[in-house]
Amino acid sequence: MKRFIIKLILFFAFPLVLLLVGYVIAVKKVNGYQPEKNVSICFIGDSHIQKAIDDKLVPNSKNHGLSAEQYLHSYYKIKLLLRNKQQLKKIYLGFSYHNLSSYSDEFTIGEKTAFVGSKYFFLLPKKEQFNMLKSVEENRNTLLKNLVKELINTNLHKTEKLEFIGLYQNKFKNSTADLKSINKRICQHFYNNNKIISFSKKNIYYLKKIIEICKKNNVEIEMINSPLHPIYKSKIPKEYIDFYTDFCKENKLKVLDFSDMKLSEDCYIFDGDHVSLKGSKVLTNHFIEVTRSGN
Amino acid sequence: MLFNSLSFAIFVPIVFILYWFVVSKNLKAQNTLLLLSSYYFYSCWDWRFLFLLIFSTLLDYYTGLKMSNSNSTKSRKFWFWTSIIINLGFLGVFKYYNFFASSFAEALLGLGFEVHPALINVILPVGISFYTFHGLSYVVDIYKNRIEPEKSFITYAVFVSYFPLLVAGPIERATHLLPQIKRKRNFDYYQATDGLRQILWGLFKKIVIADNCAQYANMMFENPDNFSGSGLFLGAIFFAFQIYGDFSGYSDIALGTSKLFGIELLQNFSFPYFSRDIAEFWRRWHISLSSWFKDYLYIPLGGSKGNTWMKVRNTFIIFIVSGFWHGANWTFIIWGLLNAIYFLPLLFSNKNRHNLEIVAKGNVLPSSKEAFSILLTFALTVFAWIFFRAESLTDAFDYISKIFSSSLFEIPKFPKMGRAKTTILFILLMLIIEWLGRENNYALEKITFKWKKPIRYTFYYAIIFCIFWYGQKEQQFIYFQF
Repeated sequence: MKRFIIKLILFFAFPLVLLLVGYVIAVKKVNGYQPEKNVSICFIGDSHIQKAIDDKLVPNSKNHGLSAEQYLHSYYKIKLLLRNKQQLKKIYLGFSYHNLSSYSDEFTIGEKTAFVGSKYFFLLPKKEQFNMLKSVEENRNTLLKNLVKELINTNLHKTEKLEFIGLYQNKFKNSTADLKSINKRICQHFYNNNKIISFSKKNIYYLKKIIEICKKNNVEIEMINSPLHPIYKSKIPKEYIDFYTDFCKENKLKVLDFSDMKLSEDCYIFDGDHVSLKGSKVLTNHFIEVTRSGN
Repeated sequence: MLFNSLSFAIFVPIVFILYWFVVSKNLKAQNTLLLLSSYYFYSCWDWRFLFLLIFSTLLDYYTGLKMSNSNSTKSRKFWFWTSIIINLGFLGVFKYYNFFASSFAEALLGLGFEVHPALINVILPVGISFYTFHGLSYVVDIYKNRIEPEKSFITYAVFVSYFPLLVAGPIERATHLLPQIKRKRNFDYYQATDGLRQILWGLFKKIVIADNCAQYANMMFENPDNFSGSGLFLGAIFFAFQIYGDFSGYSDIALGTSKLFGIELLQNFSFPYFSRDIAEFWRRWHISLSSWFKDYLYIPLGGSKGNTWMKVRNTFIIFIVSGFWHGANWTFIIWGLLNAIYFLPLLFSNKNRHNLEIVAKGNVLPSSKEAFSILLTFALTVFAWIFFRAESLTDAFDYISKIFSSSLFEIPKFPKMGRAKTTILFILLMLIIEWLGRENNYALEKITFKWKKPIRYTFYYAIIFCIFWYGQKEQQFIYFQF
């Protein structure tokens, strides 16, 4: 019996030790990330900002946006960027109204964490790592698989090449908004069985924490409301718009609101809440003009 | 609690530790632990049906004792038929009532009488077909004076409810399992490592082969209109490997788990897809059920004795009943019927017991004749599986007609082609390993012994990696529904 137990433990210990060593290296590597030295402006948020601002056109800037990123992830990303006391002066935080919806919680404490959260795993503190492992049931196998993939990637590649760092990306060359997709999107973001979805406590909590950490580090923070198709915008529940307006006032947040910006149909992609490649060029140029003029 | 779930991976080591470290000195305590663990395992599916299982166990235990204590034949008969009627009654109500009621109503409608029978809306208790057959074999064996009844309720209850075999077999015999439960078990290192190896191979077949094949088989069988004849043909082959990987994988996990507790269960599969004729296939597929039907139905009916007409009749009865055992649907009956038809040429030519040894024993490759026979048997089996998998007879005929269309010779196209190619590669890998290990009880039993340690362990790690990497969401075992 003793021989059996020892052999069994050794058999499983070998890959576990390998994974543990890989984990320690990955955490160390991620936490040792050094932002590019000339970067003083960062764009952070989900796919909305990722697709909207072409950082090549904005001097000394870096777009760290990544699809489905939640404020929980953004907070730890900002913390990482500020850790090394670099010359970071300003953060533009992407915003779209669905970021306030508890629909987003699926990406932090729900099944979709398996696909989204795993990219940020080594960036998160132990408690959040544990929460992630705990929150997934149906997709547990996918999460574990993605974590192993991430572990291998993190160990093999330079940190700046890792997916969680984010980058400007827009592959929608010829696209227009589609009414059916917009309606579907609105339902997905704001409604559940025809009832308005409640606000996401988690996202709001981490939005506040982002504001705090920026203040603490003397880094200016400004919200960017990415452009929305007029039909999409008109269908956002009033509660969400009011909440955001009040939140920004309460927290004395600066806001660059492009959500009502007039863009041609081909500046949007089918869902009406992301801009196309053309839209991103128009928006980035407009952004440069606005920031230069100081408005 | 599925065998391929995390909860089972936690459950087994806990029971194992308690079994070998806490209660190992006392046989009664060991058996009590096995019984409680089995009841816990079963109640994880649906605790309400635990009462049915306990009732069924008590019934057969009690009638067994009563038969043994009876002095008169009349009394023995009474207790025997009480057990048979109640056991089959439960099975009939839960599994077949709706089928018979609606089929009867349809038949009456054909005669011009419209009736609306009351149907019952109840889920099938998991494992009912298996534990009922367990109990039936026990009662029949006592009635026929083949065995003595078990005096200890705990021992008998473990025989019926032992968790590795509770939900989908193998269907054990009292003569094989009861003596093992009554005997003190000592830990055997080689038996335990053999068990782990068998579990590993079972998980590979279930998770890597069956669950991946299931994606494509489901895709094709659910929407046959969207695929070409060649795609549907491939879909039927995927299903053949799905059901094999699923059920033989399950059986390997069951047998392997049981070995960890020092108990050997009956072999349920013996490389059926390497069979050279349908008779050999049925000696190698779901062996515990085939032999159950042989011993408790075919032989009492006269078996292969008597004239040709008797043999044909008995063959049809056993295959149709076997089909019906799988479920209350005409598709299963036709599946059984088809297998009976396949069997007839062998019966008429008296060749049904020709291929008793494993194919190409002692050789690396089969002869061309053997290879042809294997392919032909496989093709016949795949054709029959279409009926087994289809939701209805109309669906089955529709599927077959779409296979044999002009698009049969097109290159098949369907979503996730890359993954399908990987699955096909895994099927080939499994077939190679099974071919190499075909002279053993299961593929991995001895083939790795010849390899050096580093190669052997790399192979085990590679299998674990494949299970982890190519695994899908936990999926139910097909035979749990029977």
